[in-house]
Amino acid sequence: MAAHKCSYSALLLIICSLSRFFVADSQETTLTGDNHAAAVDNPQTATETAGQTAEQPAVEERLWEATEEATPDDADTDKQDTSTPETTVPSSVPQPKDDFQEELVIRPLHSGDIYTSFQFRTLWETDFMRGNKVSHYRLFPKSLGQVISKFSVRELHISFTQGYWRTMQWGQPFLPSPPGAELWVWFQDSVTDVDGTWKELTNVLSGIFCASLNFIDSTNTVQPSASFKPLGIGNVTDHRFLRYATLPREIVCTENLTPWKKLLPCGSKAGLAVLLKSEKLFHSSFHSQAVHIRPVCQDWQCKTTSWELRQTLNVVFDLHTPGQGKREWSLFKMFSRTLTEACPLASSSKIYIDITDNPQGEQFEVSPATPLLSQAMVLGDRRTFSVYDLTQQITFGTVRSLNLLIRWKSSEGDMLRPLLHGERYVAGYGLQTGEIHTLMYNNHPYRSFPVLLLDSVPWYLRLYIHTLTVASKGKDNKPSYIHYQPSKDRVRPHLLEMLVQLPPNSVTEVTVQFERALLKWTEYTPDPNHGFYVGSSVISSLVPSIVAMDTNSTREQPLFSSFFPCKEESSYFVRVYTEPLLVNLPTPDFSMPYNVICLTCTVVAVGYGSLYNLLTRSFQIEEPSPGLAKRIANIIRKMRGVPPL
Amino acid sequence: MGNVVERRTRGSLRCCSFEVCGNMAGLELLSDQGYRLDGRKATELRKVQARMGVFAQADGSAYLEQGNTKALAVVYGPHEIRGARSRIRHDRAVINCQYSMATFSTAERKRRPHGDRKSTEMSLHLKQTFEAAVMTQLYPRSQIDIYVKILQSDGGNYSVCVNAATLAVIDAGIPMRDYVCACTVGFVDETPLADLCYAEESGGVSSLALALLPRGGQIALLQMDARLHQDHLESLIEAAMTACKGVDVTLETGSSVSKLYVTTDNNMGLLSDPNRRRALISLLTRLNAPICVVCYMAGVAWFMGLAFEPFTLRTYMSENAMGSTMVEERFPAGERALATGREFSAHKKKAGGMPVDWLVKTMQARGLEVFAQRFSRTLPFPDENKERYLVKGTNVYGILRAPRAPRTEALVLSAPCTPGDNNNQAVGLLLGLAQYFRNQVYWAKDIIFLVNEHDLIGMQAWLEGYHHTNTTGMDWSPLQGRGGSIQAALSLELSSDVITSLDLVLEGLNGQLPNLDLANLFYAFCQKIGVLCTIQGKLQRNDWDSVSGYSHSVQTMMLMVMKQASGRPWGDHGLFLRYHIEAATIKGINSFRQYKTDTTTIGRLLEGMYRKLNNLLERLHQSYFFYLMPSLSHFVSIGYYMPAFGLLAVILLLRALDLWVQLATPPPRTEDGVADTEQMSSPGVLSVLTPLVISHLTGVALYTLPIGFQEVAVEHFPVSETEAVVLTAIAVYTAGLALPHNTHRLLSGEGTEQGWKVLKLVAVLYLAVLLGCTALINFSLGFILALTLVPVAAFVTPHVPKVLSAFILVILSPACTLLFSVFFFQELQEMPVSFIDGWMLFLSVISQGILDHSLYGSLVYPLIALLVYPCWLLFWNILFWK
Repeated sequence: MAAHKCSYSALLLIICSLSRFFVADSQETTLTGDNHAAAVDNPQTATETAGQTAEQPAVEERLWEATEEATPDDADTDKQDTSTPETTVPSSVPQPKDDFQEELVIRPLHSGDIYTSFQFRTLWETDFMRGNKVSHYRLFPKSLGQVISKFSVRELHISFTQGYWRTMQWGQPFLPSPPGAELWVWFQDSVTDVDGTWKELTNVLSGIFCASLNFIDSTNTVQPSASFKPLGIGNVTDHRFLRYATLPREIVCTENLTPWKKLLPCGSKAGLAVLLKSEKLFHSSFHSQAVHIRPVCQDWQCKTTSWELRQTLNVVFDLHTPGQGKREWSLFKMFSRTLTEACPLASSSKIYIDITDNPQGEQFEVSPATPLLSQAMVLGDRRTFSVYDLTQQITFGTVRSLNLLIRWKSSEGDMLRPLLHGERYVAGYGLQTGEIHTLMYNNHPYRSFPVLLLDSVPWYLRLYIHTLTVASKGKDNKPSYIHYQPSKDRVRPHLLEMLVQLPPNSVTEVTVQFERALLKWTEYTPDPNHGFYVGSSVISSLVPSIVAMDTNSTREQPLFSSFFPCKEESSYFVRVYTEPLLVNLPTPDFSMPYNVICLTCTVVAVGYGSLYNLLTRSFQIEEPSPGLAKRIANIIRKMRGVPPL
Repeated sequence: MGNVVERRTRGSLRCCSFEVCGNMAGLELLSDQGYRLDGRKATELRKVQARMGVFAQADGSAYLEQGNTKALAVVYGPHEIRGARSRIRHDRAVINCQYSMATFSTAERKRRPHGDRKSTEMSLHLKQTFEAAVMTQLYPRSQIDIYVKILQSDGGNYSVCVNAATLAVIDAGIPMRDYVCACTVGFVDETPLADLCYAEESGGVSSLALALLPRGGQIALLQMDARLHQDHLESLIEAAMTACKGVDVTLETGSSVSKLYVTTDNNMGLLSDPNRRRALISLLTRLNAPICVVCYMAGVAWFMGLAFEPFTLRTYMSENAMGSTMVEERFPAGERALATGREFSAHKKKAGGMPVDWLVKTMQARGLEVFAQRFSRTLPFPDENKERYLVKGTNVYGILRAPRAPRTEALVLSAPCTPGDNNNQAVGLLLGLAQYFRNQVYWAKDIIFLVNEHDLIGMQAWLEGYHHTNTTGMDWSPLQGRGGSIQAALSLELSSDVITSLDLVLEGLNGQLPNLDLANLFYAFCQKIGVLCTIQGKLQRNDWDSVSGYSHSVQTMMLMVMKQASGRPWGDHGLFLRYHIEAATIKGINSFRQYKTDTTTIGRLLEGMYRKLNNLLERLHQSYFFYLMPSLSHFVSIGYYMPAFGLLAVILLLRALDLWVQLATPPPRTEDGVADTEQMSSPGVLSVLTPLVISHLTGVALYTLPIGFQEVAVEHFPVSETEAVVLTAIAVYTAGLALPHNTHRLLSGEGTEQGWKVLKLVAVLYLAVLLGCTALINFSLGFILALTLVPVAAFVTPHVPKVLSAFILVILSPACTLLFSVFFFQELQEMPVSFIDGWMLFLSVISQGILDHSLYGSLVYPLIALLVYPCWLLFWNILFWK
């Protein structure tokens, strides 16, 4: 019964993911290959042949001066595409089998913070799973390639995050991630011992990323039935091959950043990666780095597949200046570096600045100005970006370095109302029981939509699943699908997945009571009074878009907008992570054993000793001891050798 | 030297004596220390184990082990004589004995036919023995068969057989003159050895077997094979008789496992030794009253000694995370904070309460996430002190999100928005700190800046909202933003631009205290920054050795005790403690001292404290949770103050022991003593239960009536609601005093002497448990109650002078304790009041106590009403026992 339900609900996401990849991603990859060729060639020749391309790029890049229309129709964009120096066609140069792209998106947030998102993508047309060993690596990092082939990994997603993404102030991130470390892996269906492979894999990754991923074991690993579907091609959705684990306590620092940077083809020597200086990256409000590996289609028909390695780094800089001080930021201010060149190995290297909220330049002013603009659908919203192409020498100007600068003119920021966001907290007091509250907000004014809630709770919080309630607007909201796997003490955690319909403009509250378990004394962490973490719950949903999406699905899109596939144009996929929880368990006073030993010994000595005596002894009237005189007499008699009296 | 000589002389004696020496076979049968081969002492018997009725077919049977010798005895009869009728005796029964040894009974297996000479001889011996013991004349013309088989032989076969046969005869129900107990005795080194084992027997000791009828001391059989000097025979027989008596005792107790100690040289069982136990108990009962008095005095003296500085410990920072690193505090904006405070005050006046919009805007401008919470609460009756009944308000709080923190931990800084001109500076400073904190990069925990309206009620609403609990039935809107689990909180109260000192308030709800490290932290920063700091409004003094210095610290400690005992939150922090959040209130005090501190300095102090709290890796848990503070730099830990209470509590236990002993020792018996005690114990249950139930019902009335009947009272009497509540409480309390007189009407008979003792025993134990539990949770309350109730409990009987004792009892009742406490508290605060003012204060304290219970869940009022007062009524009952 449960399995049936599972497959039914999962269908939605599977279809969504698969179809999207057959369509959009394949387009993108061919085109990016073209771009690379164009960069090598003379751009002028490229423009001439541009008109012959049958495909239409999803990113329309055009001169802002050329047209004032904010939303040009398809015909217009076609024409403009021919005139842009950017759009390219395949040339006679043979395509290399691997390809590298880099990209930086900068989005000024409402709260006055700056969101910067780096994305690096390496594509490689190879097959790790074939019998012949892949030994020649060019752009693709060898360490990860070996991991893929050794452990038969089909998809691998790993993220390290320091901080919590403030959805209410910052909106949705391009790539969501929970605080701490998150790892989810789809294995090939040829893997027989998934758990064993998973265990090995986590240990290997732990070494590669210098993180404590080796703490992932059966007590924090779950197999979500519906929430995490493959994002690459492939049609196996049997969740026996999926493993998902989070380490909410993992602290991310420079030691994790360095190995991450080493995976880049240019390292941190050239290109956008020169900006990745840890002293500034960790001086921010939010820091998240991730690695995603998945197989993607190489072409339209998906005849050949290639492996995609995406490395992303999201940072939010806190540029709060109190009072009426001037607000401005620049690349130098944020990263203490400026850009001088693109990575020589990159086929494309661009900087996007989100100027959607600033169409007329009334909010802020960007310098140096760029003639290139681009539009893209990001998370159900049509955004406009200024584009700086680092492969062009013009971008760097006469000083041969690019230092983007934004000056704010007005400093008003209001709270965003993201369509979907979640919140979680522990209610109650005392150390015996408690209640986990998960709040899911649907801020859409008139549409309801379903969300998948995934909760993985460690075994030491014993969930009373009969107390599970789901209520929205004060009414009971019956989930259409519930997958619950009870925990086993010291073996596996609770897994709770639910498909809940969120009514429009409502808050849905999921509550479940729990009891705090008593741990064995060796199971406490070295700092037991700090508390124990419960990982974020995951809310995945197809959120109806505010903006109707283009029907034309063959466009090329920027990388940041093309991660989560989606089929239905009027909705987009969003994953929201709630806060992790810090729960105090009943903790003994560990200085106590000494006192306890003393006390126990005393009690045993006095109490048990007396009792034991009473139980085992029989009493007898004692012979009256002889008087003093008799005793003396006896001594004398003894000396005399006479028997005593 | 003398030792050697002595040994030599002994050796020569042994050599020249004609007896066969023990060491002939190379064995020393008796060591110099006086131990035998198997570790026994000379007179010690072997372990005896016996079972009776081992066979069902036989009329009587027994199995006996004496050391390793095991024998089985079976008795048939008395029955008709079988076989040769010539053996019939017309005046008595014939005893037929048969002795045999199992083939496996010795080390070498040997077939032992029935009729060997040794067995025949032994059978004859047995026969003679039992003919002497069994009352054969009762069974004329009949026969009694005794069959004995040695299953394992390890010396003393004869005696074991006799003993086993005795048990079997007893089992058969055949009357005997006495137990027949037999024992073998040997003679080695001038010493008689009791109960020989095989090794000793075969070692050539001259042994003597004796069967004794112990009660009369008659010898049933005496047998001796070897030669012995005539001089020794007497002592040997003496020893044998003693040993037989030992066997007798063992057999008589009938215990299956018994070990005989000839001497009790074991000190372990203090209580298991009946003599010592009896001595101890008699000592305790004899000296009960003096011991109680001494304990009481010692308890009070101990308590007073706690404030003496050499007896206390210096405070020290236990938490390492807050310890070593001291950084420069840089908060600069004191003046601006004061300006914000003035602005706040203006807006407060304009809004006539909490200026919600202004606060939200101001906090947002400082870069916080701002949320508001509305709440409303109807008090059970109007609070006349604060003049409020229907309370509606809004809390505003802003969360400073720590960079790169996952919202799991938070700290709270709160300032109450009070009506009038109070605390504006606190809110100003809070906003100033928020602004300053926002620009710092080092925060690892979210910081929540909370401005709560209607002080404690607002705080209660906010905390309940934050933790989504509802313990007191308040209405509040759910919170929108949270910061994870709160680690620590400080509440700030400032009412002037410049202060002279900062006062630290620790006492929270139900007498809970925050971890001592919080106080240490405050003290450390006051020292560092150079701010005068006080606790209970008292500065620290250095002259502890002078009388005034000592009395100063006693006053400080007593103030803390009084506040803690009241069980009410003495600042906004008090409500945090229930949620396991360490919290304290810091009050700015502006007195006429010379020393002035400006707001910037206080800001720096708070900055320092929050940076330290921010460093915490774990919740504050390293230092004490139970302590008293005679000054800010010294504390008394639970280990030091508990003995003071323990000395008082032990009085109750002693009295209980005394009563128990009195109840257990039967009164001097008359002829119908048995009937008497039965008569006494039968009304016991009822006579205890009735007063218990009645007094508790009175307690329930005291708990429920004041609030329940306020409307009725207001209708019929010209009083306000508050007065109605308080006066009803006093009326119920006083009415309770009259009840015990009528308790007896419910009882059938006269109250007996036994009856009141049982009741007092129950009441004393009840009080002991009650006070013990209270003192564990709230030491001060437990101690104050113990101070007054223990004397009552100890000395009240129906036989003391009625009027005087009744007066004393009333004086020491819980209500009067409260009244005295009010005066004492005022005295300690150096604000003495006249009796009328004190009485009014007393009334308001009662109403506050009831309000605290219903608003915040303080437990003192229900504790007093439902448990302590009924307990006291029990003693009142005993006084008027009829």
